[in-house]
Amino acid sequence: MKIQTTNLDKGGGGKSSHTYNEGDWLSRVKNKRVLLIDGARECNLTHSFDVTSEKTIYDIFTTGEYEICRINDNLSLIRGDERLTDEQLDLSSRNNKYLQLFMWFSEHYDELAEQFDIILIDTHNDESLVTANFIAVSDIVLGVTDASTNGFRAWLALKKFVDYIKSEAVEVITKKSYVKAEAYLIGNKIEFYGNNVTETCKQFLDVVQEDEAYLGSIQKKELVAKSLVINQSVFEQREQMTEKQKQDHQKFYDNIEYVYQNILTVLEGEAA
Amino acid sequence: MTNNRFAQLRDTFDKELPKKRKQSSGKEVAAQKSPDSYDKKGRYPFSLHYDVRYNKLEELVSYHKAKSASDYLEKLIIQEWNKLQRKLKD
Repeated sequence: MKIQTTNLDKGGGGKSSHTYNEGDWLSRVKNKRVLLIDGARECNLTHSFDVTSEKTIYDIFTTGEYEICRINDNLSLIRGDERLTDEQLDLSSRNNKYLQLFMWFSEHYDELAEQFDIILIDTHNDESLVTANFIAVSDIVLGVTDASTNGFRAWLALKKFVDYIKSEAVEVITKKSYVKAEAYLIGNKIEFYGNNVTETCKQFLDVVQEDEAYLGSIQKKELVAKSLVINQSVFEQREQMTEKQKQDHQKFYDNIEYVYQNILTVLEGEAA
Repeated sequence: MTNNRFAQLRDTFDKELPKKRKQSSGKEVAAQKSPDSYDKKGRYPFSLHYDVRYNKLEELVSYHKAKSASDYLEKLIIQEWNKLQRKLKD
């Protein structure tokens, strides 16, 4: 079982849309058993699914009890909760404040690994202890940013944040970190005109392409924006398209699947 | 120097002041407990009762149309102080 957290301390970059679409691609196209965890207090990911439950992610942090909502055969969800804040959970005064979720996962790892191949966690755009807890259990942390300097600054900060969590969550005797997450980046909402990108996007791509952690970029497209509006992933939308429409969007789909495959490759521990 | 704003940012980012991260302190825990003297006397304003302070504070602030929790508590303390002064005079 592999765990990915999507995070960036900047809103509007497309974290939730990405998690939603990646989750559907993994389950629908790659036939993986996927558990989505909505770790963002605005609960946008949760709102995309018509499911309800007594327990939410908040209960995992408080009582340790959990409830998994089945979306379909391959896709499940642990619902988000607006109370998921450092203050409500009083995380700062707990011992091992970065490892609360880590301890929960240790306890439930086997039962989760039996049911799921991949866990995708969506987070709020912040560097809170809640977010740090999600990063601490992850194999990879994926930064999703548009081609803006604020987004790029947030990516540079995310790498430092991951290093900071690693340095804080150490075993006291051996000084070995419990956290093994590696940070990766994808560009999002890249604007094309014809076969070219805009000047800002070009500058952005020139720089991120030099970064070893860069896994590709996704084109700005109405299909993606629409996915969280009509609650249908871009891959579900493709299934309803005519052959002509499929051809028109072929390049977009080839690219998004190339980027998602790169993410899956690093997530499964192979070099991209 | 390059004209690429992203490259400039990348090259100067490490020189920017490091973020101040929240550190845990004992203060928050201590503040969640009412002073012992309140318990001994067995009398304290309803709003300062532990459960009310932490579960209902936001609602009390909006009910009393205070600007903030500290504004509300300041007014409450002044009110209690005046009440005490009046009692002492009597």
